[in-house]
Amino acid sequence: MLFVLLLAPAAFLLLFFYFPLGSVLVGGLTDRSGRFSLGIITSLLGDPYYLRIIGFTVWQAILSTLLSVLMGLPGAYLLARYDFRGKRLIQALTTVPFVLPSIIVVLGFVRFFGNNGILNRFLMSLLGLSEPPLRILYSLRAILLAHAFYNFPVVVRIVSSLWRRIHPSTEEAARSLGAHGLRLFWRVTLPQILPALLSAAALVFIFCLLSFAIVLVLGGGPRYTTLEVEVYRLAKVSLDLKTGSALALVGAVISLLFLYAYIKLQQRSSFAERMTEEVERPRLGSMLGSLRGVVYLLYLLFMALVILAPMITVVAYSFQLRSGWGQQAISLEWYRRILSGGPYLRAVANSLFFACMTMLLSLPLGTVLAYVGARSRFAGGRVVEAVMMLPIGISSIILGLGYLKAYQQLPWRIVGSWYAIVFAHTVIAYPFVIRVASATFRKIKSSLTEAASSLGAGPWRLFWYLELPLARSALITGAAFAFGISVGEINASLMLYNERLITIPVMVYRLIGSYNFIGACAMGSVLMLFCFLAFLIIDRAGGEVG
Amino acid sequence: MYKTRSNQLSRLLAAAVALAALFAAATVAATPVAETEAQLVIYAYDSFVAEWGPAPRIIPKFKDKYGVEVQVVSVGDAGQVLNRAILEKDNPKADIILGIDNNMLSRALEEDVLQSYRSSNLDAIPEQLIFDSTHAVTPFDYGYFAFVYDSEILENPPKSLEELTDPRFRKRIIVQDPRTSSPGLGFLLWTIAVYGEQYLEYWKRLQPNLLTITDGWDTAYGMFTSGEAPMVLSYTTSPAYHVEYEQTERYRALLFKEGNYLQIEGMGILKGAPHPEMARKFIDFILTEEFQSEIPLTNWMYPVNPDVATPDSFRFAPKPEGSLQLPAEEIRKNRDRWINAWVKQVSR
Amino acid sequence: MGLQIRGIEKIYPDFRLELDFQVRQGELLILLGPSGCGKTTTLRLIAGFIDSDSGTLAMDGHRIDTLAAHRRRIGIVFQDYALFPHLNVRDNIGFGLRMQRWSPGDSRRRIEELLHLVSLEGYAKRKVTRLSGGEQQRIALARALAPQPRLLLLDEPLSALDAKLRKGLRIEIRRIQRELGVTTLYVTHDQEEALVLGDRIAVMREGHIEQIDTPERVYNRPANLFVGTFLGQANLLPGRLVRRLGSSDGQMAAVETPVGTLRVRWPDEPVEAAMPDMPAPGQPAHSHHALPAVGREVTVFFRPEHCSVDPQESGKTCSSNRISGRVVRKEYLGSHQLVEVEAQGEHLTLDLAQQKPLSGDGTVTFSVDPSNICLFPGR
Repeated sequence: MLFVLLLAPAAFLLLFFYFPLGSVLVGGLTDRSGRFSLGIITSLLGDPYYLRIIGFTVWQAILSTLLSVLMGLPGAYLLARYDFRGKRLIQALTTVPFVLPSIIVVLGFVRFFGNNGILNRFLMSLLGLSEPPLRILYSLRAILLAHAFYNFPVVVRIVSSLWRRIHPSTEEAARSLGAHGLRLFWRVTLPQILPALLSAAALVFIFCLLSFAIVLVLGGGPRYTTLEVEVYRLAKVSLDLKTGSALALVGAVISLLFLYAYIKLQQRSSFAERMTEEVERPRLGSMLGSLRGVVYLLYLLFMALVILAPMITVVAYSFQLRSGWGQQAISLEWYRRILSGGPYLRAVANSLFFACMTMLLSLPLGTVLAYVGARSRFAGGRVVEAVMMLPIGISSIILGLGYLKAYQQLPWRIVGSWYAIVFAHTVIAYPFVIRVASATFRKIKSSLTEAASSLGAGPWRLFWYLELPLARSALITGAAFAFGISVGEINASLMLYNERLITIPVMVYRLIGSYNFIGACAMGSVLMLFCFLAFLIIDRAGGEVG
Repeated sequence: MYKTRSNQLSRLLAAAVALAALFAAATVAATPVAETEAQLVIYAYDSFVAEWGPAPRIIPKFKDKYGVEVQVVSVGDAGQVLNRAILEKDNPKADIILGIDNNMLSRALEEDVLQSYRSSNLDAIPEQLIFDSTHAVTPFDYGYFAFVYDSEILENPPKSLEELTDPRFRKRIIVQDPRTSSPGLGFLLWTIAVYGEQYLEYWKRLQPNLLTITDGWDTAYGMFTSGEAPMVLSYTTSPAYHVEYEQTERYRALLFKEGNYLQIEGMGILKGAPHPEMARKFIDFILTEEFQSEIPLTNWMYPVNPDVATPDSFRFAPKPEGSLQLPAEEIRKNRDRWINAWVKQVSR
Repeated sequence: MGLQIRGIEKIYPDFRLELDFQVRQGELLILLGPSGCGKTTTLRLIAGFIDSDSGTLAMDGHRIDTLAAHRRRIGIVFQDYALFPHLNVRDNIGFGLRMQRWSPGDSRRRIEELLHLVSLEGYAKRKVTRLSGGEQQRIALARALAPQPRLLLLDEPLSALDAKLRKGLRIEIRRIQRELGVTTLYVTHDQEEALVLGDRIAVMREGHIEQIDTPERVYNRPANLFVGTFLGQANLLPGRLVRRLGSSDGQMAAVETPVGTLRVRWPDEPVEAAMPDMPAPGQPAHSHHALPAVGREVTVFFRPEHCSVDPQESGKTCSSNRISGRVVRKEYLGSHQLVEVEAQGEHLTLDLAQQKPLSGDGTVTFSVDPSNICLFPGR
């Protein structure tokens, strides 16, 4: 039955992922005469220039992951142990940066953290300095910080999901035996949350490994080149598809390895979550009186602020109009322009449309694949699962290129049609659906499926009447992610769009390219609004990210 | 069967989604679609096609003149235009590619994607602007790379390339990566034109003054206007934009003692173009006053046609005395070597 | 006809399951044993969640081991209840009916019937996550019974509940099972439950059944030492069979033990006819009927409650089997008391019905009726 379920998704993926991907990557695996050869890859791995790039990529990813985990642990603790009003709101807000197109992230970051950014200007006026005190950007520091800020909510979500379910009794028992503080954490709590921690770390590692815009802009130059940036240069700009594909292949292999690790860890973590029940949690508000409560609150505010600040800056900047003599006035000018029709409104409508279609496609695709993966028992099933999540490890630039290359010979027009964009978005988004769905499927206690089975539910009906309804919250989460990812997708869209099919991120990109930063911020704010709404709905519907 | 509250919510959500989808689809469908077969297809870079760029003003003129459907496709930046053409080499879907500049010419010719056509209108164009003797590429506008600075922050700007390396400009300059940006490449070639093979030493001296090296002009300029650094590599025409639309003269372009580097943009007809006749007519058209007069205020470059006047704001777009240019053949031979050496130097 | 388990084998790296027994139509058979003995595995095998390596399963004459789990029409009650959290009580109970495509009207009626059966009328619309443990278990039972299964399996259904609830619920379960007459296999490690509920008890150890018999016989006539010591408490003495005697009441044997020579009466009850339940391999049939040979080493077995201190009160002339010893410890348990006695180096436990003033010097003499003593080969 599992096999039958796989047919349609496999066909789709073959046509719209593996085929275009192959047409590009084949360049990295063939020599000049077109025969299969590992020559390019081996010469790549022997070239100190590329080795340095790969080394730096891995190194910054490791550091970023460590930083994310360190930053995320306190947050996970808070979320696990306490309830507070606005928790859902904050969770929704802090997930938005994850799906935003890189250009907006970077815009906001520069505007807030830059040498002339809001933070520095504030500090300068506060402390009466003439030079900006915080020189964060254009360095490795910036890359690590940006990575940590945008990925630590992932750590918080994944770890708190498990931590929440750990019964305080183990800690209480340890306390009665004399353990407390760090020792308690190290010996009792940490081993229990370890599966979730490691799985979050694996995921964050992959994201940092493949990070692109942050490195490109905030790094400050060729010294801080990572795999993705180099692939971008090779593939998009110099059209050196041979080296570009070879490099992309190396990146894909590394991410596959970590995807595999992630899946295995997620399996363990979900199993641990399965075993335990939800526990009542005290309200944070009640803690405000104590010093601890204040510290917690400060942490929350600080984190929320730092993540949200760049976004808020972008939104704030959009309410302006550069009028005469370079003065800025508060104005809704751009929003009026957007709403009054024309290409801006079309971009908004298009983005919405594509996002909805992507959601409709990637949800069943991801769910079915997640189900097959979670229920498959054969050895090597985890490897197959990792392969199914492959698009996470493939640059969307390569995907876009693949679409261009693979389909140009076909008689019917695929590139330039709206479904090309939808398919590309779907391919990019469905692994995230798999991620949440498979975690949830794994958490379903086996006694439930056995009970249903004994009551006469065969494999299909098990799926339909039991497992699917139980995974409902995860599916909503997955849908919201798919929506958000589609709305914010830029790289593939840039390759596949035309005037009719323009999307918000592309429009933002164009506005920036013609000095229209306010306009870019305005469109970016609209995008953020959509993403935020989508994520708010998840948390409302009780979704979780696992 | 199970009517939980969150189930009702998800129904609402589904309904909302369906509604949004319908609305969006309707909007998409309602906007006029040029699905009818275009009789001329042009690949151009983004800012050319944008609604504030040249295309919306120029294309209708051509349409009216010849009564044809023209489709202008924006493909990214100029480099990507060429790349797209190369990608579609065997089965070209476009007739004209737009944005090949004098620095990219060698590559375009190497890849052999263009066919030659010498328009008779070229007679009116100054000799030194015709940068392709094979006429595969026909020039339509030009500009000079220059450092643009913020006069409100910088009181004593540099007057030469060499002065750029002065320690007082430490971390105050933004430039672009030559691999991904045409001004970036232009600047690199500029330094080579001035310093020859010693350009690497120059860059060594320059490096401490660089705040960052961005991948594209838009990022760099955005940082500049955000105040991250008071100097950015751009064009001599950039200040004119601010004068024209923001009524401010604070941004000024710098002319250097050694001269500024010249960029000439052109377009060419693709080999195997589906509509070669119409394409040739378009090439003729771009050299006419109708086309050229729109260039300054939409593309922010100088028109190649000397009979076309530039607007008043272009007072702030100074033309340098010495205009530098490296010969296409030399670029073709050494480009990769120069860039690789530069990358090595700058990555340290 | 019930459930026939013939020649079922399941081989694991460190464990081997071998089963061959039957559950009679309408009976409640208890599967009792220590943890790890394979009773849950047995259940899962029967349910169809794992496959056996060989052997057959048949229900009412039809083979079911070839059927997929969802076709076997077996009701299961799990230890953790396994109620579907996304469905309310009514839909939980009706799940099996839905699978069998019952009409809505029939379903509703049946669900009401079952709610009444488990004494939870009016619970239909409730959310299952809000119910107490006992209520959940009853719903789980109702759910399993709703589609009229031909076999009911219960996997330690009461172990998650507190003692008082357990006692109440097990009576309920018994009543319902009797009322419906459904063939039932009940797994537990709780001896009291086993003795109270079972029509028969199958005692399992390390993958095979040691004895399958009525509670009374399993308790009083255990097939071997393991069964004897697993259920209830036992006194064990090493001994040697020195003489066999005939008597008017059947065979007798004299066994020499450290505390003296004891007389043992060997029962000659007829063996159960009908479907013989084959004993575990390696053990001869009716071992407890074969008297060991003279001179053989044996283990003497008798229960603490079979010891009587006052011969007159026991109502039997018991001139034999008198054992004297020193009281080591006394445990008062309200309705009875446990007395630990040391005699000739052996420690024995007496379970005395009522408060018996023991002799002041801390010694006690008690006797055991010869028919209450069992002998097992070896030491």
